[in-house]
Amino acid sequence: MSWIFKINHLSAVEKEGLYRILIPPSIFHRFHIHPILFLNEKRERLVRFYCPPKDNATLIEVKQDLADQDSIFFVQVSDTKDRTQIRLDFIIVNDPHSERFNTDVDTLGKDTLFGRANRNIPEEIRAMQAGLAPGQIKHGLRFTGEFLQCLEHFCRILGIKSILLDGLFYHNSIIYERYGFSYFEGFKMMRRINELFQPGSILCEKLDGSTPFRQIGFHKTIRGRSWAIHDGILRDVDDELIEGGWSSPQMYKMVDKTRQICSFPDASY
Amino acid sequence: MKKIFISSTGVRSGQSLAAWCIGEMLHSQGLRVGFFKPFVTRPVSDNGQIIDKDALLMKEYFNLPEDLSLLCPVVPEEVPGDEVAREEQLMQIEECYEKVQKDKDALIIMGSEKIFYEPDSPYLPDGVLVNKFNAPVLLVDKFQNENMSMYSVLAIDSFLKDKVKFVFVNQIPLELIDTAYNKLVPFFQKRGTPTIFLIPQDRILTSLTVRNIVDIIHGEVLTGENRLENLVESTSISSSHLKGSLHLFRRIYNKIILLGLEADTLNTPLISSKVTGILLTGGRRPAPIIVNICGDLGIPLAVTPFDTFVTMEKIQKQQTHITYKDVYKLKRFVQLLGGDEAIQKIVFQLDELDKF
Repeated sequence: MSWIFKINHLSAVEKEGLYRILIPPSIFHRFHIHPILFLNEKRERLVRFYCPPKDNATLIEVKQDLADQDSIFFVQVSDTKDRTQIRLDFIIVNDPHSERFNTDVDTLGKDTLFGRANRNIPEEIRAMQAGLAPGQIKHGLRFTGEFLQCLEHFCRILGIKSILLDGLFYHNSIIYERYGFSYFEGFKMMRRINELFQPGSILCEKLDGSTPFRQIGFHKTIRGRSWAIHDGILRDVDDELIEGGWSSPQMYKMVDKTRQICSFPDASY
Repeated sequence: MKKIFISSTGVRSGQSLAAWCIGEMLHSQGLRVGFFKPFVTRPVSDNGQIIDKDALLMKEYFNLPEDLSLLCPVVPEEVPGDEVAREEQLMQIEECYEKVQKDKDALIIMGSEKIFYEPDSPYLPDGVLVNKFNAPVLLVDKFQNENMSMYSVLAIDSFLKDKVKFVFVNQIPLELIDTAYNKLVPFFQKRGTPTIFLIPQDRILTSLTVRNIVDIIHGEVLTGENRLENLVESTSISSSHLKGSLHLFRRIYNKIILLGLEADTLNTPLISSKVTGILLTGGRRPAPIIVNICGDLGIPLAVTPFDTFVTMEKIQKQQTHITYKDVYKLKRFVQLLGGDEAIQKIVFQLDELDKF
C-alpha cells in the first residue's frame, strides 16, 4: 500500500500532523498564521487539507484570506505504483500582494490549460512585461527551494526514495535541475533546445521580434526562452528532437542525492 | 389483504430499499400494492408541505392514487408528547390507514428508523403500531456482528410476541459472509422462525450516481448527460486514473475524478472501477478541447461553483435517499436476496400468514 493512500486512512489530526510538514515554515511566519492551529489573528483557519480515505493524493492549500480567489500556496502530491516514489502533481505559490494577470483564462473566462488549449495574449504580454514566467498569474514568493526541502523531509520520514514530477514549462525544468532533479524523459530535448538557442543557431535567429514573446536577446535568459517556447517557437523548427514542439519532461530527484544536471549552463533567470 | 410491517433495528439499515423490494415482489405477482407509513421520518419540503421521501418513492413507483398526506400523515414537528395528543395521532393514523388499504391486495406498512424504544422519540413506538395493525413484521438489521444480530432479532421478536416473520441482515462485509451464514442461518432454521436472509455489502448498493453528485454540488452538466446514471464508488484528485486523451486533464488542478461502474456494466459488478465522471471545481469554465474529449469518450463532465475542498465536503456529508429512478438498486437488492427463489419464499409465506 502506498504512503499517501495509507496516510489518508488515518484520523484527521494524524493526517494533518504529517501533511503539515509539506508547508514551508516561512509561510506561517510571513503571513502570521499559527503553525499548529493554522489560525490567523482573527482566528480564521487559513489552511485546508484534502486527504479523504481511498484517495491516493493529497491537496494542501494556504490562503491569506478565505475570500481570496488565489491561494498563497497550493500543492498536490500523489502516490505512484511504486511505493518508494511520490509524485509532485502541482506546486503553485502566489504573492497575494502582487498584481493578478489573467493568463489562466481566455477572454471568455475559459481555462487556457496553461496555454495548451488557448491563450490570453494581452494578459500574457502584461505578465511578461511585469517579469512573470509563462503559467504564472502572480509573482511567486521564492518558496520553491524551501518547499522542496520540506518534501524531501516528508519523504525521508516515510522512507520514500524519489520524487517525480513533470516540468510543465521550460523554466520549471531548468529550475528543478538547479534543485538536483534529473530526467527520466526529455533531457535530449532540453539539451537540443540549448544548442539551438546559441547565437547563430536557428532558434536564436527566430527571436526576431515577430511576436512580443520572441524578442531579440530572449535566448540569454531562462524566462525569455520559456516565453518563446510557450509561444510555439519550437514548432517552427524542423528538428528531430524537438518535433511537435514543447513536451513536458519527466523529471525525478533521489532523496538526499542531488544530481548535477545542467541543460542551460551559466543561465540567468 | 396481505400486509407486512417493515421495521428496522437502526438507521441506514436499508429499510426503505427492503420496503420497496417487498412491494415490488408482491406487485410482480399481479397484486394491487398499497403503502402506508404513519410518521414522516425522512422529511423533504415540497411546495411548503413536509412530505416523506419513502412515501414519495412508493407513490411514484407504484403509481399510487392517494395523496402523500394520506400515505404518510403525521409530521414529527406536530407531535407533542402528552397522552391526549397521542390518542389523536392514533385516530388520525387509523383514519388514513382505512382509506389507504381500500381496494388493495397487499399493503406495505413502514415503521420508523429504529424499533427500539427511545423515550424522547417523537414517534409512537413501532411495537404499538405493529399490534394496532396486527401485521407480520419484516425486520431489517444492519449487520454489526452475528451475536448482535441474533440478540436484536430475538429481543424484538419476544417484545412483539412472535410477530417477526422475516429478517434481512443487511450490509454484511464480504469477508464475514461465510461466518455470518454458518452462525445465523442454522440457528434460526432450528428455531423455526423468522425466515432469515443475508445480504452482503455491495458496491452497487453503496454507490451514488453521477446524477446524485451533480445535484449535491449544484453542478452544471457540460457533456455526457446520457451517462448520469453511471455509479460513483469513490473520488480522486489524482491524475493517475487518467489515461489516453484524458491525460490532458493533468493540466487541470481544480478537478475531482469520479470512479465507479458505468450504467451499462451493472450486471458485471466484478469489473474494476473506471472514470465515470469528472467534476471541475471553482466554477471555472473549461476549454472547449476538454469538453470535446469528454464528449467523445462519453464521460459526464460537470462544473460546480464550489472549490475542491467544499465540493468534497458536500459529497461526503450528503446522505442521499433512494428515489424511484434507482431501479438498478432495487433489482440488485432482489438479486442479492436470492432472486426468484427469495420472491417465492416470501410471497408463499405471506400467503400462508394471510390465511390465519
